[in-house]
Amino acid sequence: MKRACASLLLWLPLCMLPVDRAIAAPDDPRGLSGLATTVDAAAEAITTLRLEEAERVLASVKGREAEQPAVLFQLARLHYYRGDYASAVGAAERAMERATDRQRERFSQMLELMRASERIGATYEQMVSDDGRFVVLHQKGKDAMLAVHAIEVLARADTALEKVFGTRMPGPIRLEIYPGAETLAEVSTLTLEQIQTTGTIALSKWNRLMLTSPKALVRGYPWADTVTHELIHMVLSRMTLEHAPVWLQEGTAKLFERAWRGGEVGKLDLDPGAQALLVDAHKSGELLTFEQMHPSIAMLPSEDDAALAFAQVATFMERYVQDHGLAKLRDALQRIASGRDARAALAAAAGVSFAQLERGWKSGLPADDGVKLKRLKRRFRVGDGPHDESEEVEESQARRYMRIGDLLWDRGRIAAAAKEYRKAHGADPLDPIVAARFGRAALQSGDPQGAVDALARQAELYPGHGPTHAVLGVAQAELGNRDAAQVSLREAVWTNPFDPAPHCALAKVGATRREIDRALEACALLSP
Amino acid sequence: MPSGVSAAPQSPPASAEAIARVGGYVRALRRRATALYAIRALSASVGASAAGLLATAALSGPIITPVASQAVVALLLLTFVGCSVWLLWPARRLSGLGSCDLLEPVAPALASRVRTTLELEAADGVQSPALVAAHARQVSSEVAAIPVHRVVPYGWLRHPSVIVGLLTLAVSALSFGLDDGLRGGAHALFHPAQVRGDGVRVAPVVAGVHARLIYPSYLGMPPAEQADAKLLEVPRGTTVELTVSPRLSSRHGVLAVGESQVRLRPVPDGGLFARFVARESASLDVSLESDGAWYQDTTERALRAVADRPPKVRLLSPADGSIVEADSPMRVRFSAEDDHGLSTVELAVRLADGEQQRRRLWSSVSSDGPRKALDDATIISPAELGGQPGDVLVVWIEASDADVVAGPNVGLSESATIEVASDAQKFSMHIPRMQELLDGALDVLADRLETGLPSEPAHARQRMQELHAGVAPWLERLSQLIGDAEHAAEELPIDVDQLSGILRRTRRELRRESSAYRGSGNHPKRWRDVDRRVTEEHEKDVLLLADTLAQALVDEARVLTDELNQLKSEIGELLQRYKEEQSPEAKRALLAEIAKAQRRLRELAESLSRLSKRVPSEFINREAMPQKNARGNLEDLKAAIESGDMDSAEEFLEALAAQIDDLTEHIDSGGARFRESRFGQRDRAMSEARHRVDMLAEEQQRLAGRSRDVVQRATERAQRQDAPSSQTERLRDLAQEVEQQLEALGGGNLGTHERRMLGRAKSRVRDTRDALSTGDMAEANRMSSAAKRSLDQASNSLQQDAQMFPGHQGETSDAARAAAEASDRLGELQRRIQEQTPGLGEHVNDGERRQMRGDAPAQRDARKLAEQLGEQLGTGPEGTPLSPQGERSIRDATEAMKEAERALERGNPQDAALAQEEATERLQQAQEWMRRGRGERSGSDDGQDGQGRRRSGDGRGKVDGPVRIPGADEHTGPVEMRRRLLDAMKEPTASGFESAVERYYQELLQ
Repeated sequence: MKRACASLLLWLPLCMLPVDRAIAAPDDPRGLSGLATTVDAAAEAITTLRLEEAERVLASVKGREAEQPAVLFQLARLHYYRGDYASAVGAAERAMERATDRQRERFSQMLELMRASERIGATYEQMVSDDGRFVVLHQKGKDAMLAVHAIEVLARADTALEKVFGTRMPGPIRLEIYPGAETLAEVSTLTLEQIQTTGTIALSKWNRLMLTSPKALVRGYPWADTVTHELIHMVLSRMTLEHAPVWLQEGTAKLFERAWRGGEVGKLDLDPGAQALLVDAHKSGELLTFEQMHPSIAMLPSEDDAALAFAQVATFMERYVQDHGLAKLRDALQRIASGRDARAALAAAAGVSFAQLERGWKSGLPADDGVKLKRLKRRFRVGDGPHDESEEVEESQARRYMRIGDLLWDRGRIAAAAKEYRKAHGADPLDPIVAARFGRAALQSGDPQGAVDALARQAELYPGHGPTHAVLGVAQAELGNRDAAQVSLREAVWTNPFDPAPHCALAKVGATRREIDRALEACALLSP
Repeated sequence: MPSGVSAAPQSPPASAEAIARVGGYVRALRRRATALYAIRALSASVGASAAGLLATAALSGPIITPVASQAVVALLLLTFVGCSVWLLWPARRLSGLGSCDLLEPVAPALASRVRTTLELEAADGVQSPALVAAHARQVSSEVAAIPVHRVVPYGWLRHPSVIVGLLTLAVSALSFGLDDGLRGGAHALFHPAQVRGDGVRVAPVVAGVHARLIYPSYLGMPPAEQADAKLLEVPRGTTVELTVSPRLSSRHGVLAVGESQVRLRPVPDGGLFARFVARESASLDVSLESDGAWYQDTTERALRAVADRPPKVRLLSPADGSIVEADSPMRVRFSAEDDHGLSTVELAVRLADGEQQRRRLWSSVSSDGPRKALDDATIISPAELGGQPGDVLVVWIEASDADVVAGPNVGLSESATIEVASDAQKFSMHIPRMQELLDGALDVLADRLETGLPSEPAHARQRMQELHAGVAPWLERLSQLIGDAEHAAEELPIDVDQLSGILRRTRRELRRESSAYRGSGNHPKRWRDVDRRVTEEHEKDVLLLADTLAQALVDEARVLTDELNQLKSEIGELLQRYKEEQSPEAKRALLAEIAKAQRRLRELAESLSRLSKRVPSEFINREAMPQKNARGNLEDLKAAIESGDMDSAEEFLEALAAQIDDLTEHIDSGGARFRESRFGQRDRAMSEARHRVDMLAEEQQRLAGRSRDVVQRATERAQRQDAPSSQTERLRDLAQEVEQQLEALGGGNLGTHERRMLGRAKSRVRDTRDALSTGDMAEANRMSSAAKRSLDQASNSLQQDAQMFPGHQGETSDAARAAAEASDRLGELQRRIQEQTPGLGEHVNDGERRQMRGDAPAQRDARKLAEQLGEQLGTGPEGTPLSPQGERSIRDATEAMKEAERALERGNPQDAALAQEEATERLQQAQEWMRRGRGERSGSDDGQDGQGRRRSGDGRGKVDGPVRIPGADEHTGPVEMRRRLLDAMKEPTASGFESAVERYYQELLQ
């Protein structure tokens, strides 16, 4: 159940689209007047992120018509999408003054969001890239360090995605980093409970990327990939004029979310748990059909089905690109933008039937390698006290030993803790939490090789587990394996940039002066 | 050169010396003679002057005017000078060569020749210098033979002038010395009287003042005398009796004491008398009337009235900031001292609502009179002073003296603030010990893990010994904690069952490890095995202690929120009352409760801070809790009440209530989730086990009842047939002896468990005696067996205690020995009863035998169930026993059930009933241990707390389950108090406090 909820993190905002569209529509029972058409056009343009067009449309409305509530509200939306929250609130409030009761009912939720964004944004600092293309808003404090890295990731992602999709998003691209799930709930239509239940940490909405800071989660999360993932949603929304279905959005975003790293594009890095679901379903012949996913993954009966659906679409898109190339994908997206059904568009672009596409995909699904991995839940921080990870260790003996190790560690008996962690690791060698503990203790006990031995495989199995990369990176650095250390330490920073250890280690083994200086600064900022 | 002799012509050098010698001789004569003349003159002058002074003093009296004084002084001077001149006149002849004439009486010819020598030496134109020189030499040698003192002897002083002068001086001096009047007169001559503008003459008219001081009676000092009092320093309230000795004739006078005046009356000896009471410091001026004139004495006199200082008081204990349980005795020790004497000492207490109380601690009336210093102590509990849990009392000592003049002076000690421990605080007191225990357990485990097992046997042995030495202090602390928990008057929030299990298992594994190293062999595999076992035991203990500590922290927070809920309701009620009455008392009571709530909130904040280190935030997140808002609302509530704004006060109270509900809900739900995560499996297993034990106990009781009925019927048949044995009387006496032995054991060294077992044993011995009285041997046998079982348990427990700690003076060892002796005696009684008990076998009928055999399968089933239960209790989830003590009791019950099963199969109702009784008792013990386990106390997911109270909306607990009335042998409060007192009694008492300690015991042991 929880997996399905976790998967809802992206489709839910897209489900809000109808609401937004409904708000956008003028309250004209006839819907035929010129003004209504204009307003509709503006609303559509805004929703599909063609803001310059929306601006032109709205600018054409003059005189008294410009003061109509529907027009004012679209103006408010435009400001909102441009990130000018104060103007958005002003225009929306003027609209509300003039609106009918029914209009107010539709406008009010957006107005609340605008106000929340204005209120929160007023306290934030803004970091802008040198070329002005990327704007990052963040809370004062440690998130400033994250913003520096985020701008770099955005720039790299922007370049990579332009190559992938053949289109460049108009700037500026806005990224807002929130300190926690509560803030994300304030500025979105999701409730806190929904966010925490589904593990939602980012949204692409209203022409901006909305990201929860990794510091809000116990282990952080691959925030850099997530920024790219959301940016892809933004690109697809614009490219397909919001006609792409959720499964295509998700599959494509998942496929290219690592594109910013460079290297081979279109290679999927699927979550081990999701992969396990896929393997099991394939083996038992219980893969979902596209009919079942259509029109919305949210309508699937269970969380496991939803997680399976996402794994399926991601691997499907991967296969599509591998077989037919990026150009065909782009072609399909254009067809979708023109109103074509997504499956039909893909099939037409590839020159085969959709059934063939499906068969090709299934034949390429991975076989069962007997390794049963578990999924690591995203856990939001609650308070400033310790977080108990022992509940996430499934194997009971491993959990026991790990708890004892934690107690000994807190007592300062590192060598004894290392022994307990070793026992825990022995009881469940595949558990990433236990492995990371063991690695840390081995490192502290002067055995970096032991840490590497425990964690090298873990890093492949659980690429999203920040502590694994952090400890592994430091261990590699101590062993003098500079290149390997860099890879792991960067990975650690791209997962949890608020852990000082990787920065401090990167300050010694960084590849460039810039990287070293940045690491030094972060190390100084974050170290107690 | 002698005067009058002019320089002579040059004589030969040798003669000059002679001449000089002669000249020197003559000068010496002159000097001596002059001095003697001067002495004469001085003696006579002084004598004459003294006589003159004497005469004048006699004539003038003590008063003399300045003019007369000057005249007299001049006359005396004249006398002195005149006498001096007259007696020095003859000395004029000594000038020049006149001194030569001094030789006349001694050597007349020489006198002339000396003169000649000096004249010739001075003359001009001397014809024969040689002759002169020869003459001079001759004279020189002659005068050298006559010493100067022969020519002018001291006999010259035997002159009438000297004799008369000295005599006169002596007489005058004697007269002055003996006669005050003469002295006064002489004094007056040199201190003539001044006359003031009012005509009063200021003069030294008082010869002396004598004072008699009569002190205030409360000082208890005898009267004192002070002669010639110029400064009287007396306590206020002293009666001063002054006797003035005037220099002149006076019949009355006035004594000015500051601004007031006291009459001086004549007394028979010529003096004047006055009496007054010294109240304030003042000057003392004496004025006398004589011959119509007033004279004021010049001597400065003063009175300094010393105020009685208030007593100095010190409160030595309790220490400021102490936390004391409401019914716990609290030692109040103080010291007081006073400059003159203490009258009373009181203990003053200000209660939470501002009311003050006083208790008399000491009084001079009840004591042996006033004391200047006191060092004492008393024992009192906060409850006796009116303190309730959570209250803050302020205590201090007040001591007063017996000053009846200005009123008693009161001295205050510094105050001490005492907090009466709330339920949460009683909880909190034990958490540090549990933390310490956990830390110790971690260190013990870490020591073992960090030191690997060496392959070399000697090193391995050494490692074992070092590790055992390291774990011993931790075991001692654990044992002490268990002992304290067992001996506490109230049940402590400590799982004694589990801690006892830890202690026992650890000791067992360590013993095994020691055994493995006995001998000199090399057994690495065995050593590895025991090392692994010990490690596993430590690992289990560490987790159990960590979870128990975390749970205790959660429970502490819950107890605090319980208290806050109660306070919230009480504040609400008091606010209503204050609204209606508007009385200062109601306001004080209300503010006192608010202050209590503020303290609880502070404690809650501290508790949550401690808790946050042990309990993950996802369970209880202190950041999300509205503590600060609650604190703010309390402040606002207080301010509103103080300003009289009742409407606002109600609003703040409502907001506060909501926040407290929020806090409570958060902690309750978080606590429940935490409990579930750590203990959920265990709680469920325990709940199931408890249910099964209850069912088993019920079944066993049913079976025991059936056997008992058979015994009863068979006994009745036997009694009808057999005559009562004559031995029963002796057995009854023996039972009486045993009972007395058991009574003597009921001293102060027994823990809760031991007391309970001993109480049972006593009851059973009484029942045995009663059964013997009626001749019911079977019942006597049953009761004596039951008594023996209970006494053996108590005895074994005491022996174990004594091994751990024999007592300050071996009293625990003594008690263990006494218990063992009593057990032996009881065993003897039991044996003899059994011998006397008629065999019931022949009195059991077939139907009853069939019944017993029919019960055997049911007994077997019960045994099997008990065996399963024993395993279940001994192996909880994750390997830690559910209830170690419960497991032991179940195993004992299982053994008894086996006996019962065999007896039923044999058809022996007595043995069956006895064994079944024992099994029932053991099962009840198991139930008791399981009830005392953690699951009961801290509540479970059903929203009930340990006493079955469900948390209602207003936060108050309502009793849902059956109310358990404690039995008589469970009322351990006074007995426990007595034991603690007697323990304290054995501590050495500081010298000087014996009386206080004795009084303490008398007060408490009555």
